[in-house]
Amino acid sequence: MSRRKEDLGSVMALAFSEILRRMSVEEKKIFAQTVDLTELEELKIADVAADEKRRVGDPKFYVGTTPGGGLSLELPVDKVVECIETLPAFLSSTQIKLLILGNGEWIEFFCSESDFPDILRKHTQSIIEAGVMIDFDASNLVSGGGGCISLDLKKPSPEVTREIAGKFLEICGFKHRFRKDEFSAVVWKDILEVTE
Amino acid sequence: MKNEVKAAIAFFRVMIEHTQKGYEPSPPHILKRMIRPLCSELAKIEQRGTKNDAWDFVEGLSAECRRLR
Repeated sequence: MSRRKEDLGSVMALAFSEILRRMSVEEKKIFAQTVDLTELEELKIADVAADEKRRVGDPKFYVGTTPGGGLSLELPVDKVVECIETLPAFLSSTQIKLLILGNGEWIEFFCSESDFPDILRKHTQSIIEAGVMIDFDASNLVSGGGGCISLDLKKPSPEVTREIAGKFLEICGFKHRFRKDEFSAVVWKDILEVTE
Repeated sequence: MKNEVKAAIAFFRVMIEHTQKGYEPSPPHILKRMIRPLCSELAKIEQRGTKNDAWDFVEGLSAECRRLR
């Protein structure tokens, strides 16, 4: 019933704006004298306020599930290596392949889980400034630097995805236990906003 | 698959992911972290890639597009 009312309201608004469009200048003058335009002005202001609430810019932290199964991340640069270091434990990969961007070319490294932190720390600057690609068996991480990371989990278990997101959040100084399969968390002005 | 092809596809994926976020990333962020890296990999493919590399790239982009549906 209320849906029909909404539909009718929208038809009335469209019809009314069409009538206004067809009015002559003289008719519009008479119309303007007979109605109180304050309410209409207030509605316009409310629209502008809604526009101002749009989130524009780059947050301090972001994690969100992606359509194909994985995580999209924006991490503080000083936490990037610490976060990536934890991934082998979640992804239980036997061999790790790293491609680190140096002077515009990809330099390859193969290592075990135990050597992984050393390689990351040795190349921290390139990883956070230029870029890195890491293969953990089927899963893959890519970053163009600046803490902007995409983690493509080939056989994504929702539990593991939630755990990785929670761990990264914790490393960056926030705490939340994700419960659903699709979620996002963003930090604006040191305030964590979670959507699940 | 060559590293530059793989990287180019991955940066395209990162761009798609930025359209799914609940906020609007800044244009400099998109330029610096996605478009410039993608351009750099495309230049490598153009300079020293084969027709197979070009085809791998197109197939990779299509696979990313399918994940959106």
